[in-house]
Order: sequence, then C-alpha cells, then structure tokens
Amino acid sequence: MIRDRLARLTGSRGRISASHPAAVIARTEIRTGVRAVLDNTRQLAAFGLMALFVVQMQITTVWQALDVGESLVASDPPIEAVAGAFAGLLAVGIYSGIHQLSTGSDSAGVRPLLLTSVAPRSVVLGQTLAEYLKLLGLLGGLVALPLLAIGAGAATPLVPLVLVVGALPLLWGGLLVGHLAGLTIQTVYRRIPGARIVRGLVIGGLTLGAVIWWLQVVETQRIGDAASNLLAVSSIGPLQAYARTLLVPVGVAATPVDAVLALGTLLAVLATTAVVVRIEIAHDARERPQRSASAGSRSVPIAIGSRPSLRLGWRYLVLGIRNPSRFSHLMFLLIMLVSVGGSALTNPSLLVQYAPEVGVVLATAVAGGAYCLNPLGDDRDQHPLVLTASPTLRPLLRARGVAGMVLASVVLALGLGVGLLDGRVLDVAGFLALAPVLFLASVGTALGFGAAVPSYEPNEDGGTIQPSSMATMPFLLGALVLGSVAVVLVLATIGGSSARLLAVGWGILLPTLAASGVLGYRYAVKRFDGLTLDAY
Amino acid sequence: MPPSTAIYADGLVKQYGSTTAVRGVDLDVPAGCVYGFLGPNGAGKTTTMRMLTGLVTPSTGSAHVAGVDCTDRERLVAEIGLLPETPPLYEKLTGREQLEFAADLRGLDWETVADRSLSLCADLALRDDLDQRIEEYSKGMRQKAALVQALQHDPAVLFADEPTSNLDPRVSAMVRELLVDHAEDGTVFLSTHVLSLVEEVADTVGVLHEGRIVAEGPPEQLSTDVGGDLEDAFLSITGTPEPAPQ
Repeated sequence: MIRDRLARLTGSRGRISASHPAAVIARTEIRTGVRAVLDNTRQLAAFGLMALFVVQMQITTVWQALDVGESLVASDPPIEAVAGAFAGLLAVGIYSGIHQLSTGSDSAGVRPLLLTSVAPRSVVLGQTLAEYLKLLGLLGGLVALPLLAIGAGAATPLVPLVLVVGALPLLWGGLLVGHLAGLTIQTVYRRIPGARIVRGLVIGGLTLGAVIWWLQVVETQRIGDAASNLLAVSSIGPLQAYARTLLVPVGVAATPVDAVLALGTLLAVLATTAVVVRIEIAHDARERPQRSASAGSRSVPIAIGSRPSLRLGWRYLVLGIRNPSRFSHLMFLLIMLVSVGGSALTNPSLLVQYAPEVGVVLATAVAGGAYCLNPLGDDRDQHPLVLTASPTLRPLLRARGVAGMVLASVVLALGLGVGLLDGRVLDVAGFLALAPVLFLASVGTALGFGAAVPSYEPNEDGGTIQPSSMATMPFLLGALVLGSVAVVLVLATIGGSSARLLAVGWGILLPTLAASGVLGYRYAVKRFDGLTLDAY
Repeated sequence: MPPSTAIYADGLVKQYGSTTAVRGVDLDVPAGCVYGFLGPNGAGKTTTMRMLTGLVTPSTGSAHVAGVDCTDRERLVAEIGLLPETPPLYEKLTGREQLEFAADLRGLDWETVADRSLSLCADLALRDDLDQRIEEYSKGMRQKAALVQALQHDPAVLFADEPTSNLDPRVSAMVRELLVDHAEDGTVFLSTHVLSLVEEVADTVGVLHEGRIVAEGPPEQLSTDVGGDLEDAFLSITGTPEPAPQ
C-alpha cells in the first residue's frame, strides 16, 4: 500500500527498483565525503600534498608505461605482468574492504534511517557502491598518466581501455572478498573468549601468521618448489587467462580454455556479490548483545604513588588495553614488523641476530607514538573536564609519555631478552643505557608533533580520533631513522670504531635528540595550556 | 566586584567569524544562589557558559568567577565544576575509575575526595554501579556520574548545562536537591530548558535572547510581570513563534 502511495506520489507506475535507493545512498555518501575533505583545510592540504606526490610519481613511471604499452601489442605480450597487476588490484580491493568494514561507513550515524527507509539490500549495495566509487576515483588518479602512456606506447587507446574495463569487476570482487574477510574476522573476534586485548592479540597473531605464510609461499615459489608453483598456478592462472581474453581485441591470442576461465572469473565476481550481500544483510540483522566488560574497577596500584602524572599514566595504559583501536595509527610499525617477521621465518637466525636492534628501534617509535601524537585530540570528548580541572596540562602530557614509555619498555625487553639469550651482554647493556634518552626524546618530539598538527575531528561513526597523518608519518619515520642511527652508534662504540667518527656521531645525535625532545615538550605545554574550544 | 559576587561579567561578546554568538552579556550573580540561565535554542547560553568556564576566550568584555578572571584558567579551575550537556566520560573506564581519574587530574588525593564522591553517588543511587564500565551505563547514569565528577571537589561555582536531561523523575528530584544543597555554601549556574526546574530551584533567572540578557529577576517576579507562569514570561520575553501558515 505504501509502495502504491509512493508510486502515486512519484508518478511511477512500475516496480520501485532497489537499485535506485542504493544509488542515492552512494551519491550522498560520496557527496558528504567530498564535502568533509573540502571543509577541512588540513585534510585539503594533505590531499594536495598527496596529489603532488602522485603526479611526481606518475611522471617517473611514464617511460616504463610507454614500454609496457609497446610490449602489450608485440608478439609476446607480458601476460604474467598484467595478471600480476590484476592480482595487486584484487589485493587493494580486499584491503579496502577489510578496512572499510573495520572502520565503519561514513554514514554510520544515519544507518537507523537507512535501515528503516529502504530494503537492506539497497543499504549494503549503496554503501559498497560508494566505497567502490571512492576507491575507483583514488586509483584512477593514481594511474591516469601511466594509462595514457600505455596507450601512447601501444599506439592505440584500446589497450588502456580494455585494461580499465577488465579492472572494474576485479576491484569490485576484491572489495566484497574484503568485506567477507572483515566479517569473518569480526565473527571470530567475538567468539574468542577473554578480554578485548586477548582477542585482539589472537586476531593479530592469526593475521600475522597468514601474512608470514604468504611471504614464505612467495619466497619458496621463487626457488621453484612444485607445491607452491601449483598454488601459484591455481591463484594466478585464471587471472592470466582473464588477461589474455581481455587483450584479444588488441591482437593477443587466447584459447577457448582462457575464455572459459575468464568467464568463470566474472561469474565468480557475480556469485561473490550475491553471497556477500546476503551475508552482510544477515550480519546487520543479527542482534548482538554487548558482551559484559565488567571486570570491576582497577585502582591505581599503591606502588605508583601519588604523582598525578604517574597515576594518570596508569589510567592511559588501562584505557589503551581496553581500547586497542587507540593504537591503530601505529599500523605502519606493524607492517614493518611483518616484513621483518617474514624474512626471519625464511631465515630464522635473523630473528635472534637482529632482535635487540629491532627492539630498540621499534621501542623508540612506540614510546612517543603510542599516546603522544594527538595528546588532546583523541580526548576531545573530555575537554570540558580536562580544561576545567587542571591549571596546567603538564601532568596529562607527562602521563601520556609515561604510558608510552611503559609500552616501549615491553617492546625493548622482548628484543633485549633475545639478545641476552644470544649472549650479547655488552650490546644489551649499551642499548639499555641509551634507551631512556631515546624514549624521552621520542615522547617530547611526539608531543611537539601532536601539538603542531593536532586532530580534533571525529569520524561520523564516533570512532576514536586518530592522530593526523602529517604528525604520524614524519614522526614514525624520524623515530625509525634516529633509533637506527643510535643503534649503529652503540654498536660502533662497543666495537671500538674510530674515536673521531664516534665523537662526531654522538656529537650530532645526542644534541639532536635533546633539542627535539625538549623543544617538542615545551611547545606542547605552551600550546595546550593555552588551548580553548576556539581551536576547533 | 564585591567579595559576595560569585559570577561577574561585563559586556561579554563572542564572535565566530562574521557571526556574533553573544552580544554583550552583563552578569552579577551573588554567591550562595542558584542562577537559572534561560534562553531559546541558539541564544548563546552554551557559548556564555564556555566563556565563564574558560573553555573559550571572549572576543571582548571580561568575566570573573569566584573573583578569578575567566581567562586565567590556571586559577579558575580550582573554583569551578562543569557539567556539560554531553557528559565528558571515558567509555572504557568504570564509574569509580572515572571519578578517580578526575581527582587525579585535579591533583587531589582520592582518599580526600572519596567520602564526598561516594556520598554523592549514594545520593544519586549510583554507588552500586560504580564498578561497571561507563559504556554499559544508561544515559541517566552517565549524567549522574558526570554530575558527581563536577561536584566531588566541592567547587565554589557549579556550571550545569541541562543537568536533568535523560533523568527519570525520581533521579531528577535527587539532582534538584543536590543543586539546592550545593547553593547553601556555593553557587550554581544552571542552564536549562526545563522551566519547572528553574521555577523550583532558581533564586534568580536571567533570560538570554539573541546574545543579550533581556530579562533578569526572581522567577516569581518575571511571572508576575506578565501575569502568568514562567513559561508565559519566557514566551513573552523571547517572542512567541509565529504560527505556521496554513
């Protein structure tokens, strides 16, 4: 009846299609997303910088892209490379799907409206479509120039055209597979018993294991192991067939088996769409009573004493353990850890050999990176309390430093523990002596970055406010570089390198650390002690 | 400014770009009273309260709370407690941990405020829920926890923005009682739309309209002036909205 009335109101006589609301949702999500970037000067500046970087990157790949274009219309086109690019595209889609599912849609706040206004299928399709179009826009910007160059190299626009047409369903499929993976992770996460941090560690461990396994496969594949070759053929094979079939219009030869496999790939994308949309609808509809998190209150341990910065630091540690998403900006370190872990598995002696060094470098980044890169931004909801409770924010800033240094000490202890087992007592003593300097410098510097480019804007779904990437990336890279330099200097000192070189090295490193730490901390205190809500 | 004055404001103005949110507010609130701060949506109540609590800086004009300049946040914080409209609480802490956090933030030994905090919690029927995470609290429980947090250090002036929103009538009555109790040796600056609350607890009412105080006095006097109740007075002062065209 309502449908009839709606049809009368809109003048439509036919069936109201489910795709129309999906398009409306997608359009609105894109519009609000674009406005969010345009209205935020900082995001706009970051976007502009990224665009400059992308243009510069694209210019450097133009010659390569010309060669690729030329080779694609030659007698022996590099089908493996095209299939590899498609595999990469799938991976981007999968990553984006998992990421989107874990961070939530921009329209999470209006989700009740959507779910009570249109069919669930339209909501899922609309939000996925919006995500797909945003990703497409981003990737389009990234590869626009190389695609033009490929066309120029091939002397026909048909080559980039078929590549783009072929990429579209794969990206869509990857996105949905990512959703499926994200839903699986969420379901496993919920079913694991224990505290949030335990569940997080189990999921993290499983993910790490999967990535390391994959790295091993890649490694062994290079050696030519039969089993992994079989695996490689089964995963990349259909993509090669897909690529060959796709490039038939530009003269590439494809067999009937290739055509069948290509068609199968497209059908798999369609089937994935149908299955994942159904699963997402069922997932949305399932009622999930909130798991009781009441483990009682944890008072500050007596041993911590009465210093506010230490007591508040304890609270931040507790908050971090209960809500690990506070640390999601440290993903960059995790990626680095995964690459180190992967190499270590193929050559386990590396794990022991470099554990102390990796421990020192990572701990340096964690000390400041964990809590100090957005010291007031991620507590935006608490501003009315924080700003009206304390005459100065020094204790609060120090507390964050303390909490970060405690976490860093755990990382350091793991690394140095392995070093001790390996009998590197002198090295461990050297690292241990330098660690407080590195930690303090890291904390002060991170506070400085956090004060210079604070981030106060929450997601529309009200998630944890993450530090600005303009603070996170330079800080983490700087911490990794300075931490590595410190490690090299400690080893050189213990190894008895040239006194003059050591004097120069330490003479540069220590003042740099001191200046960066002290100036960063002072700047943060000055900036935040003067903070008012006028700042946002 | 006489020592018996809790809040004094002289020509407070706040501009955001080309928009003027507050257009010259003058206040003289004596100590030991409940001051009801009324005004239609968008009148500038929250902005005024933010200026008085040092959360934003006035564009022009000055204000003092408990004798302290509102821009001197270092000294101001010792004198005030703030209950904003959205309770500033950590979802992942329990109620007890949150209160201890607020005490630590103020540099207060928990032992010294524990008695008062727990007694306030008992008054608000929150004591049995203190070891639950705040993410499991209802809206009303959050409001109660935020109120205890704002009062536990016994501030000279409590600024409360809609303190009874989300509360059931029984707890609402408890909160009213707490506000009146606090005004015995402190001052309460109460911003709300609940006129019955103001009628019941406020000694003086100020009506803010379009960024200016347009009426001030005891609630009964405002009512008498228009020959009705406080709602009539409010509508008369701020202007009854035009009926929608048919």
